[in-house]
Amino acid sequence: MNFGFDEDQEALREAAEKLLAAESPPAFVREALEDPDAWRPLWSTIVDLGWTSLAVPERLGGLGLGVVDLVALAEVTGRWVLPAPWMSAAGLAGPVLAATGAGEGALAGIAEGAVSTLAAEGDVRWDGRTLRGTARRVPDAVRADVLVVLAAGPDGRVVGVVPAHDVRIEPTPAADPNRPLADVHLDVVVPVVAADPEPGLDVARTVLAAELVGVADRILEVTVEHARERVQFDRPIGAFQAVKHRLADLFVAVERARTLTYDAAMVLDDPASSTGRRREVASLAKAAASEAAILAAKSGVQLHGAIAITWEHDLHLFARRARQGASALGDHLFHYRRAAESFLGREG
Amino acid sequence: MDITETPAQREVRERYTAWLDDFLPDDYLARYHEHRLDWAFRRAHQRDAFEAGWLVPQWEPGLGGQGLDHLETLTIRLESARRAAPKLPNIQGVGVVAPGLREHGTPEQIDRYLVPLLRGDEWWALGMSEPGAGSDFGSIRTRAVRHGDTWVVNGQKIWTTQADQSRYATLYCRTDPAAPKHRGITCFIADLTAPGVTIRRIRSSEDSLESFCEVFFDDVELRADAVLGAVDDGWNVAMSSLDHERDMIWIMNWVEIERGLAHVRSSMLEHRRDDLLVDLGRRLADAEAIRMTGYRAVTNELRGERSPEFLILKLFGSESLQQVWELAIQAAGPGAVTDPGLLLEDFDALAATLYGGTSEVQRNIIGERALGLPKG
Ligand SMILES: Cc1cc2nc3c(=O)[nH]c(=O)nc-3n(C[C@H](O)[C@H](O)[C@H](O)COP(=O)(O)OP(=O)(O)OC[C@H]3O[C@@H](n4cnc5c(N)ncnc54)[C@H](O)[C@@H]3O)c2cc1C
Repeated sequence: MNFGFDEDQEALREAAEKLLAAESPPAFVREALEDPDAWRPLWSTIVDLGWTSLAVPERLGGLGLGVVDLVALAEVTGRWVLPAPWMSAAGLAGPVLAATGAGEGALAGIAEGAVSTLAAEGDVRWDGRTLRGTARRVPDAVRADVLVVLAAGPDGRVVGVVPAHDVRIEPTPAADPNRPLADVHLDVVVPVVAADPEPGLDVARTVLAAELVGVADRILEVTVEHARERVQFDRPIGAFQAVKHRLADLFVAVERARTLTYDAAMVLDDPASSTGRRREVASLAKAAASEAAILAAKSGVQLHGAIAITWEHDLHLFARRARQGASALGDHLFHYRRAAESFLGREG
Repeated sequence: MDITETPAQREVRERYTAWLDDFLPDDYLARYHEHRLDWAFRRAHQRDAFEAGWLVPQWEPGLGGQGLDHLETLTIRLESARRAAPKLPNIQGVGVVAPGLREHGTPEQIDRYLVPLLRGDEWWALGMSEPGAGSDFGSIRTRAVRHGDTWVVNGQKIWTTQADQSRYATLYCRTDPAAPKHRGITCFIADLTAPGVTIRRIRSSEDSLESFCEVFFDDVELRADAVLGAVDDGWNVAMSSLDHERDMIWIMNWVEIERGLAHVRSSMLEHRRDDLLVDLGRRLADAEAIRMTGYRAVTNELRGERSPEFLILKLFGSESLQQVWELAIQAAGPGAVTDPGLLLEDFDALAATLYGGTSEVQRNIIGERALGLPKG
């Protein structure tokens, strides 16, 4: 039992923190909200650095690392609300491809920097020949080359890999325009594999949880800084217990989520973990991280005061990602319930 | 990062469970509520654990341990909790007084007091709180005045758990009234059977497992060698004592959380209560997060890194414990108010957010020590 990142992971985190502080500071993230192509140069950089190949198997040109490595990096991308589609490709599509064996070419493509994403929600069906229906709220679909689509088939669930030019992509509003959402309309003949996507989704949920922990952590950090500096009634507001206690509670929520996320990553990387255990820890991590991120966004705004609801302030950048991530792949209500069902021996 | 047990972890855990299985009667869990009230049984467990080196596993043989490292020790403490091993009858003795004695005691004091404490032959109480000094420990007024080679103590302590059953107490007195609040305090080892000590039990609002007392000191004489730590340095002795207490309490809380969750589970299997599933999930997350945060903190400790997440465990554990038993009551339905066992759990859970520093005080500690916010 060891909860520490190893040297390579620490080095990756440090390098990522440095890179994003320089290349993706809040001012850039804010600009990117209104410039749909701002992410492209940054994407080339992170692909060159190997971020998209972390968890791709070595025989497909990746680094063959695990969920812990993805989590180590995702936490940092959350801290800087990275506006490039790393999460969609390496965090969501990649793990589902790897766990289901749905498309080795697509997985190799992720390592090389093809923008890929996961279409997990909606009512897509497979009739034995055609994938048909609408996938909802697909992140980064407008930027994607390839979509990994989950669908219901006549004999259970299937996973298909669909080139983006074969589908109709209808952008929708999104809480976080830096991770644009779209409805994707499909009517396409493709090969699919029959597979339960849940094990792959549990990895995706855990990586997403890590990003949310990073977002919450950063909000806590800037809010603590603000509470130490902002003076009202002749003292720093952080000296008021109403403020201090709210921040202490947020710290508990963030550490709770962080512990559960690391725990889930380790359990998912351990080949000896049972299916039930994997499902339970992934749900606990996603639920706790979703809650922590939303709590952070709310407390962050409240404790900054009016400045926090301006376009110029950074808080909305974090709050947007918190809101969108918290409801993706199951919100905290879904996942607490799922973990409880599992505890009661109902695999519903 | 690696979730699997190290070979050493597994080896000590297996040795420990073999020992525990051997000690416990077969119907232990089935008759947990009776065993819980069986003091002779709990005393025997402490004595055997002391002899076998499972009482304070990180200490050396002869002092109830076997020289385990931090990680192995936490593994044993959590395994003991998971198995609901008998609670030490005088838990603050082993959990709080003993490490304080080793840290601050003279060789003579350690020699005289430590082993009888660890064997459970002599019980200890914590004499900190007073009627006018609860959270604000620095305002204690019990006085100790030096006359040559003796100190004379006058004053009153309150909420002193098990004072009526204890031979000794760590007694905090004001020794320099002119010094700033935190300075002029000294910690003494007080013999509670000495002339001038009067102990009165306080009746608690429900029958509780541990007694709760007031202790009065009227011209009680203590010898100079009763000082624990340095004269006027009692604040530091108290602060390290509170650290040990927090470390003891979160695992005590975790035991009760696990028991509470098992209770909820059996109620919810009996009566389907889908309205409680989300809440149950939240409490499962708490239980997992508390245990694993303990391991995270130990990993950091082993790497020599600062470990601020450790500071959350008392607050998080006690608040969660209360919520788990609240859920147990909801899961039991309206009949819960006719179930004395459940009512007692609920009552016990209320105290958890008070003793060892209230939740409000914990939030101050987290805000100031972990987050670096200014004092109020
Ligand atoms: C079961 C049990 C066993 C105990 N055993 C012992 C023992 O063995 N030895 C011993 O010495 N003591 C013991 N205590 C006492 C315990 O340490 C005190 O109850 C505790 O420190 C709180 O003090 P108080 O009860 O006087 O409450 P107070 O300090 O009066 O607090 C009342 C309320 O005010 C709040 N409050 C106080 N100060 C602040 C602040 N600065 N900021 C915000 N809120 C504040 C508190 O959080 C609480 O909600 C025990 C208590 C219990 C319940």
